[in-house]
Amino acid sequence: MGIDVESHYLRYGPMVLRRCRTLLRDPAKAEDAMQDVFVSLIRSEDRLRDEAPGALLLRIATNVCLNKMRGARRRPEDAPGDDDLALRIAQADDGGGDAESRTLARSVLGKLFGNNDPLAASTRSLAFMHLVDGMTLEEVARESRLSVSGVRKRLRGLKGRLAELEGV
Amino acid sequence: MQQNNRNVPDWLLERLALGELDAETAADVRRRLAAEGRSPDDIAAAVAASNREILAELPATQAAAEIRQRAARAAAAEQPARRRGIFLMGVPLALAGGLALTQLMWRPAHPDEGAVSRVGENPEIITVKGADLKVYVYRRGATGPELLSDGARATRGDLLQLAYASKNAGYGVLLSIDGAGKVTLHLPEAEGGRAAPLREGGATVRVPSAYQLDDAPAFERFFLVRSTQPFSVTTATEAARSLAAQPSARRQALALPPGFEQISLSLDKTHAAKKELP
Repeated sequence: MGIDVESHYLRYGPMVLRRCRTLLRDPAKAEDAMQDVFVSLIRSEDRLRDEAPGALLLRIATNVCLNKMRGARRRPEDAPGDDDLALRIAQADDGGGDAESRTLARSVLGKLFGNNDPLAASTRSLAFMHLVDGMTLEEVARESRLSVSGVRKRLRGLKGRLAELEGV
Repeated sequence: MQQNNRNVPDWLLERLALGELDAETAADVRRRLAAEGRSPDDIAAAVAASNREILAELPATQAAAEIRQRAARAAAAEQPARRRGIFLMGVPLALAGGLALTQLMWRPAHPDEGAVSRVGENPEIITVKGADLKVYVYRRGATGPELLSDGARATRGDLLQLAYASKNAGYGVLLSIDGAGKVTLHLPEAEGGRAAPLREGGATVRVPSAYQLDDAPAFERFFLVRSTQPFSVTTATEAARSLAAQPSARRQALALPPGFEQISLSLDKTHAAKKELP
């Protein structure tokens, strides 16, 4: 039994589109991504049995958009106006808004969106939720159905990898 | 709980507006909003207003149809071999030539006409064969128009007149794909709009303009797509473009959303002798 696409779109489509617009900053690309999100939902509808659609769709949207940004070789810090995004990441990072954390945040962006990004998609999504969305580790864990320690471990691994890559 | 003095993330506001946050988290979000001097009711109203704006811009019926189409395309792309050869052509016609297009009569129904067959294992794609929906291709000849059957040989320069017949009411798009991967829209004539209302009752309806075959290789395949509901022409043209890009374009069905019907007729240009184009 397939999901009722129209009713799901009516309830969640605008939310998904807002999410995609926020991440991609391009109306046409966002609409394209929004459709991909629902296609992904159709193809993995069994996941709807286990959790609320809203969180699942927001996570799928995040992954879809990050993949599109990678595919387009788009690095947010290179795009006009994306200083604001970098600043948000810097301010949202645990270390506060100092120069060091800003540098780290920029590096995070680069690693998150670079074509050679070695991170798993799920880790990118978690990092984005924490660093860009400004969610606490608890919130990220709750919305991702992971343990806080699991999220912390993955993000610690991310920072460790960044430090390693940058010779810090 | 980890302390958080930042603004409430949009993610959580969306989830609050949906009413999907658990009680504890929702209460925490409301407390934080209050600390920020923001009202949950105002947030909910802003989200609702944005929802209305987006749904007006991208109506659910249209968006859902496009999403289903995209999903069907993705599924089709993953399973090309399973459908190959299963698509049934629906126009095995052999009307006598020489009739004026406007004077055509229906031949008696074929024994299997009217049946609806499903393509492969994908229940979302329905083809109709038989008297319910037909596409006709006529070639201008020295002695009058010649009705071409499925698989008929054709060549560059042939001047074709297209027609359809639909017993049931609905909306339709008539297009063709060729061996060069090109998609040509025949009805309606303008891409980007809505599908044309089909005349019901089974009468033969000519497409306004004739069509001349170009030098694209191998084949020209005509599709008539019908739905009982209005739909965007791009629903059909995108499915056609997707199919035209595949090696199996000559045999496979269009990947369309549920509720769409389709019928096709192919002309064989494999052995075509070239005519001079005017």
